[in-house]
Amino acid sequence: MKSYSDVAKVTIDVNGEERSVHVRPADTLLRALREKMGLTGAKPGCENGDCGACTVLLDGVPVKSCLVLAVEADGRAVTTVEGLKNTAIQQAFMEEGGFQCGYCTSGFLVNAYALLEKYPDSKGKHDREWLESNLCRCTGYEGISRSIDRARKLKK
Amino acid sequence: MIPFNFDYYRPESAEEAADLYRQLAEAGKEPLYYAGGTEIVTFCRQQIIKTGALIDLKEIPETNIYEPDGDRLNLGSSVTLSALSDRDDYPLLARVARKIADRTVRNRLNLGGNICGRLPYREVILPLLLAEAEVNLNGPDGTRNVSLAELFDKRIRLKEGEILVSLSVDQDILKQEGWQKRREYHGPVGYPLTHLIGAWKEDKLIMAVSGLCAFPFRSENLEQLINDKGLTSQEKVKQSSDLLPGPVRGDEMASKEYREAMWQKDLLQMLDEMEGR
Repeated sequence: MKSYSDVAKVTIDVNGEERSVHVRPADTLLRALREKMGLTGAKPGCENGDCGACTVLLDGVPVKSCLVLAVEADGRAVTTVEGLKNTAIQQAFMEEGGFQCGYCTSGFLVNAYALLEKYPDSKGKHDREWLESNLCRCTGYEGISRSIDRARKLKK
Repeated sequence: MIPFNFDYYRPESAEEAADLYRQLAEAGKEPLYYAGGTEIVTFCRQQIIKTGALIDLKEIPETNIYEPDGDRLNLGSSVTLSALSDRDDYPLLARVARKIADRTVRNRLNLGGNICGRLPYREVILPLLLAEAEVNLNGPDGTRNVSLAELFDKRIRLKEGEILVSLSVDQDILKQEGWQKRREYHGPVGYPLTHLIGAWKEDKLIMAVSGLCAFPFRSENLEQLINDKGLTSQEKVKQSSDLLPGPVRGDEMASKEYREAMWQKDLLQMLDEMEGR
């Protein structure tokens, strides 16, 4: 049985690189990424599981990192927005203006990346269901929607 | 940030988890079983709950089963709501699961957590009540199986230290498309003002409700009423409010009167549409 107390060492494959840090079992993955690893792409928005700005992939599955304990990621793979360099979704967001203030963008990028990995040929069938997880207070949804359509084409 | 410390354990069997719970409780740690974490992490951050130890159940193999067995379907308590909503073979279960929270939360939120959580909605229990689930539990006194209807009285009545390991449900009910109406305050992502589902069990219409009262329910009295062939749909709806198992909720999202009006409107629609099938 795995157990963690006080301050424990966890080793996480972050964007393909093995990172070991010390965390409290009560630390969220979001806080560990930002404050222990210096990866500030995942944003603290609501820290209540509502806004999606902190979305990362945990073993390829998009999750809100403010609702995951860092110890739960020990031995697993995490992808943050910093791991999406030179991807179709990054390119598409630039080409289609998929952001305004940019605070929500990393969450949208990560979630949309996972969506397109899982459903590359879905023709948008799952877009709304998946992207309801993320809020854009600038209401830039048109640009985000265009960006995802564009990324789908770029991937082909 | 969670402003207090706790220990975290990841047992590999239900027996190990139950034994650990007993030890931690005796040591005054006030342990909590940890499922998807969406509620516990939030409540710890807000200091609504406090604990000295979390026991994560997700790596226990029996809690991860998803397997048909004859006319039953066995579902582990750690199966996520996304896993339920992505399946085409159990539409009633999938459509209810798909309405709860949002996709990335459903990737964490699981069956056991939703049913045993502190929030009053517990919507994934609705199709399980209709499918007459049997619940497999493990705790300090060993394993026991009990019907969900018996175990669920406004909330799940687990004994101290007991774990909901898995459920066995009637596949035929969950294979139906059924009928569903969920009303929210803002938009599709939000807690339900009312959530009504219906299905057929042989020639009888069955239904379950969340959001309307302070707890989800399936009511024998209401099912008797809606199956009364001597009454019109309007008469059934008119009498239905008197048979609710608790007061209608009124809160900042919707008044009691609004919820009751929506319930009556949805029930009428369900009766008309289901009886026409």
